[in-house]
Amino acid sequence: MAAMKHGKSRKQRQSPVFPGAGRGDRDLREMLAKEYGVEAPPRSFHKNFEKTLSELPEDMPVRRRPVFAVLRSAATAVAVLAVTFASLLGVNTTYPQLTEALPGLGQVFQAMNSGQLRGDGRTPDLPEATPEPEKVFQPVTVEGAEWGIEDLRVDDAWCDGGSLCLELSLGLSEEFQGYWDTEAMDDFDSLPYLQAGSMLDYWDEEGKQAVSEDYSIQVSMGGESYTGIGELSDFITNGEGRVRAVWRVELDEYLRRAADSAEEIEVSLSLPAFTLVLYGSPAETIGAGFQTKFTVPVDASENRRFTQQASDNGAALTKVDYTPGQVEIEMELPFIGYYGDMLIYPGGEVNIPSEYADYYGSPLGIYPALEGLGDQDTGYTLARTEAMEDTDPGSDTRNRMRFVFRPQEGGRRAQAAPLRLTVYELPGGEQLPYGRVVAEQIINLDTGRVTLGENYLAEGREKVDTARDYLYSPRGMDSFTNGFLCSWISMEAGAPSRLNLVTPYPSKPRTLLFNGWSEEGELVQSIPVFLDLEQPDQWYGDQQGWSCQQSLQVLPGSGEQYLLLQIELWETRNMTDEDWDGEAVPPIARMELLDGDTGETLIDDLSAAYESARAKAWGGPVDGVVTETPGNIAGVETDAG
Amino acid sequence: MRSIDRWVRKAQNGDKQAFVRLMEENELAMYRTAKAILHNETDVEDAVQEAVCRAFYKIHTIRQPKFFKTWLTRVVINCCYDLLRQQKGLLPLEVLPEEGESEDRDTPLDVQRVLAELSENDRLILTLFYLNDLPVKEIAKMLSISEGAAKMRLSHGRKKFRETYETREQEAGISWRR
Repeated sequence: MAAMKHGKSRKQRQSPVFPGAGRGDRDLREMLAKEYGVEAPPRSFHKNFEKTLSELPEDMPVRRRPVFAVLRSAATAVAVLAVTFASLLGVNTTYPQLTEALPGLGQVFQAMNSGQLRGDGRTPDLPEATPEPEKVFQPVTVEGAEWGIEDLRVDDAWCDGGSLCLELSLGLSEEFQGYWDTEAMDDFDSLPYLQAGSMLDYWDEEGKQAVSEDYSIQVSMGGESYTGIGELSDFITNGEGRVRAVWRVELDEYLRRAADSAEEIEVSLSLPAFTLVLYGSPAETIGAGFQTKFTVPVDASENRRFTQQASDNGAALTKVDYTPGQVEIEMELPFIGYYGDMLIYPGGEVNIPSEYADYYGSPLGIYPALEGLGDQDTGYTLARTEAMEDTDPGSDTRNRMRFVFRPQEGGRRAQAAPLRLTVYELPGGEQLPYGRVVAEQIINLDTGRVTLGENYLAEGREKVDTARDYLYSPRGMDSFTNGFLCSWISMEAGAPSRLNLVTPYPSKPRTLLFNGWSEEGELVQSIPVFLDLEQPDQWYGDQQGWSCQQSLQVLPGSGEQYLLLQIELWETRNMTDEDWDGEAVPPIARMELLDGDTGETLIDDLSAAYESARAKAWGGPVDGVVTETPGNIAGVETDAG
Repeated sequence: MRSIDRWVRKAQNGDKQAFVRLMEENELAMYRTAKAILHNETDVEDAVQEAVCRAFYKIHTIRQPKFFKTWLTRVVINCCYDLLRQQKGLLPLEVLPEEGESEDRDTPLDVQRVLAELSENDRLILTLFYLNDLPVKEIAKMLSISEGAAKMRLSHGRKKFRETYETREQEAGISWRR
């Protein structure tokens, strides 16, 4: 059970970056708004904006879902199976392992593919689905006694032996509904909602008045019980005079064991008060005083649990614990380096979780995604990642992890169907155009079989080389040219040019020259950079519109030292500049690196060198200029001096 | 789940009204961002119009809805840079008031010149940090510069802007007393 927050004094919000002159600098904010005349957009802009929105097509691109036919239950099963079988014949030709993994029809495809079916061309007998009696929850209503909230209703509830989920709603009085008059409230972020709990007399870290978690849920089954707060969402409007929420409780191992033989679970709720939140801040507490008890049928018929060893590219799936409301998967994963221990970044949007930030940056290759293959609403969200008891994810050994997934939007899946588990090298790898995979496995929940998946190939992805020693051979190590590696570059006409250059820590000072050439072959800019060993961490620049930040970097894995140069050229726009005597400054099309003393060309085209090195280190096609900055190479912050 | 996360998810699932709502909510922020880079209202309108269209076709690619605002700002910035790239000829540094911009009429031309001499990134960084309320880390990422460089630009831009503004105010005070 969560403890209440302890009292804290009210704090003024200060920027951690600029103490005393942060975002709370109201004077500066007002000056800026006034000078740039941007307190509100002009009418013509607003008109054009609304016109653009009105002319958008009706159909929006949606997040991709696998295209497989849906298996339905009960009376339509036989007819749908026949249609499904026929439509999947083409898929079977290309991906037999997928069709063989389907429940019900999978056996038919296995027999067909192995040549065991009759040769007379007749359609084989299809398995019949046996419908089970449905366990239905009867809604429960509790009348309210206070102004504002008229009743609490438990609209629906289900328990699959692993989770208990309640769908609740509160009926609002007519007066109270006025807060939800959305025509009067045109500020999107201020849509009101109700939060369980009472306002307290102190403020949290964000400067908002704290709300107590004084509600509770108790569940009992087979002599076991749990009392706590579970996970209760906010109550948000359904647009029809009620506000809705979902209350979820993950059952512990004792209750799960009891669920194996229990028909129903007893539930007690206590919701003493609710707080109205307006414009994002708690505004008023209403003491509703709801208490109620009821039972929820337990249906564990679709639960599956099995252990086995199924390896792919060094990644071993060891356990699957499936319920319609949650899937737990245990795996052993190979070590393939840390995100903070590399010489070249992947580019694109990569959001690295900070849970293991103490360990030289997060380990790579522990980012799974799960999707069902037999249902249209197949999205799963990764709810939790846990390191097994004897595993240190920050170490350079194999990681034993437990991943907990839940169906998206807090719902439950209607059918147990094959699951596709893909482990990516980077977080969000499935969204990256070149995201590599560590492993892909297809889990057949009916048979308990786990087979290798190859959907990643159809998506144009590669597999990571898990046999490489990433600790002493980090990504980018094999891409140096004449002792230098361009670890990142961004050159866009109309925007400043930026690049990062890495070199092993030199034994003596050295001068480099960066030359920028236009499309027409004109030398646009020439920047001398001095590798200063006496002061390895420094920033310098001049009035000609460029800067160089030099810093010493140490790779945490190998301990190797490198010098990192972060170059910026911000006067390369297609604009006139008085300092340039009124001459135009054409954009840079190619940057080269030369030895400042001898004039020798070290890297002829930094942009091409970067793209080549990036593709070699992270796989996938070269997709053009990267616009995201990676920061520095060892995850250690440096200042501009 | 935050309400904005919910709207983003809805839009990703094809709910056009959710997308429209997200755009309307961020209209001012998009205008501010474009205004900080581009010099005239027509360009600002064109760039934001393009950004809305790009966002419409690309919102389904956002992995984490909590970064929606940062992502959208980046889309606007890219559209502004694309517009600059497409434009032929040169853009003069000193910016004369456009018709209808009455808020600038009392500002001496030399002050405008000083303001305009702030590099577009300085101007943009001030706008993103103070008016759009984006954190330094996300601004740095968006502009493809290091956090250190972003902090430096912010400090430089703030100092220069404040000096100029206060000087102008003092001069205005002296003029009035006369």
